[in-house]
Amino acid sequence: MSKTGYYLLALLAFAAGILGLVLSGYALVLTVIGFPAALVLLMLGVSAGRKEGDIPFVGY
Amino acid sequence: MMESILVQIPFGDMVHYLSGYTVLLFAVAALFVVLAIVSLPEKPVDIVFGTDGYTLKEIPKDTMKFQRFMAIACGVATVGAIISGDLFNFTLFAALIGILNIGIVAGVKNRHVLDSAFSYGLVVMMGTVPLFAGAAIAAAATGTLSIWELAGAGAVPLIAKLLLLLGVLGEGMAPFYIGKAEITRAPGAPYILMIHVSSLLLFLRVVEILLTV
Amino acid sequence: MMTVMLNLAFIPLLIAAVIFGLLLHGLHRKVIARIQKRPGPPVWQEILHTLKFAFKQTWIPRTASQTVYVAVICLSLAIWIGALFTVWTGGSLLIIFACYMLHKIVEHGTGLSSGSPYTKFGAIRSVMSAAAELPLLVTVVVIYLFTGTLSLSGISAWEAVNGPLFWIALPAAVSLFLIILSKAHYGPFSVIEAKELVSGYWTEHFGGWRAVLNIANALKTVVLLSVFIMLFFGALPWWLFVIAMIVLMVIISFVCATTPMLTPYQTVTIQTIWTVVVCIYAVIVWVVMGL
Repeated sequence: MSKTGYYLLALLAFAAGILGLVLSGYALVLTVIGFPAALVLLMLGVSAGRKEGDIPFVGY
Repeated sequence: MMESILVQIPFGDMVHYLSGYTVLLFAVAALFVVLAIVSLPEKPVDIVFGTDGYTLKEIPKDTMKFQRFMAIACGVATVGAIISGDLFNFTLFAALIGILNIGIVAGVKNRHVLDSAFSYGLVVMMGTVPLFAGAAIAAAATGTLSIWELAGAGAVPLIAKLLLLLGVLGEGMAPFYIGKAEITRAPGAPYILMIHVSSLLLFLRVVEILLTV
Repeated sequence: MMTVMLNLAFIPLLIAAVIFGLLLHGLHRKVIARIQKRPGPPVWQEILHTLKFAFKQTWIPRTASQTVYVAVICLSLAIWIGALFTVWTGGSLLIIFACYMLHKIVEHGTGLSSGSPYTKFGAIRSVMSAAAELPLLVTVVVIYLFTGTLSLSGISAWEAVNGPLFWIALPAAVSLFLIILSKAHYGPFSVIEAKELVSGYWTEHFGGWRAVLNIANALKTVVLLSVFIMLFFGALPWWLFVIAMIVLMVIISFVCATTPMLTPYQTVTIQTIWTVVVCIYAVIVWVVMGL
């Protein structure tokens, strides 16, 4: 999947998480699944198409 | 009890229910049943000692299908134990989970795993005695087996609760669980996982039952 | 409206908890290093690790059980986010109990999902580490005997009236301390991630997957330490809470630095023996309360 694809899905998962927090009750399952999914998709998005050793910051 | 009841499925005086706590257990059990349905097993990798070569073990398809059936059945039995609103149904599901746990590794051709599965099976069968004894004492003392009717009343004698707990500990919790630890050496990740999932979720449910009745 | 605001305030709490948890892990390593008379890594090392791993090139091994490999990582973060939310809203202690046990399933699944023998042994040992549910169960029972409720807000309210549970329920406090110790890295009970198994159950989860596991473990540390303080000392002002968590972490680091790694069977023995001690204590409490 392309970088933009991953980023858009991450945004969608994060939005689902926020929706779960706003609705409360049963909908918290959206939060509990959405936030980790957003994180994983964000990481996959940043490292998509990249070669090993190409670290964006941290300096080493 | 302390959690609100989210879902009720009444069958006469047996009311199967999901509380705010058991819905979490239900979700995890359902997730692992789905994982058992959709995932393929891993290929265990071993290196050839002293060289760069490695060997891959492929699980033969009929073993995989057998393990998958057993794992899904074990998952469904776990879901049944979690939802159950009746003490005797719960104990039946617990015994069924014990049998299916052996079934999941029964097709593996590893002698150590099969020996451990045999020991584990013996402990599980011994564990069904306190399980059913606990349910029987509860029925004799209170006249009903429905968790719904017994809830909050504190009428179930302590000995029945302790026997139920002992039975579930025998099904796969410390300190009777070493056979279960050894049978997880078998290959077939999503299916072997169900062994530990079912035992732990069963234990989590029995804690809720013992605090409710 | 109030619940919605409270819920949305959870998001900055989550980020703060992750950063604080990673700092606590770094502090843990620093204290262990200083006891061993070496300088040790900087306290923010775990944050650097997590960032570095997060952006490494990540893929899914071909010989692993791919769906389980990814799903179990997401599940690990999901349970600790759920547990932190329960602590934030003062929910039921049973849910924290469940999240602790589900973490054992996560360790087991993480180990089994790749095909590597190191992770498989880590997974088998994680089945044995489920001995920790015995001390956890008796801790919950003792707390229920004293306070009559299992909701965190109810227990804090009881302690606001009756004083901290730490002194009157000391065996239960030691039991919960043992449980937190059993989940500390480099501790006597951490046979699951022992170095003779390379990294144990998380050997084959690299890159982004390892970063997510780091974050989940940071949340786990924050949740377990906060639950200990809430259960045995009651609701404290936030700054005292943070100081108490740091002090508790340093105590755990001292124990981890000065004890050798136990064998798997010894970990089960010690936890079972302490369970028996707390059971005897619970029976005494029950008899005394009945009189």
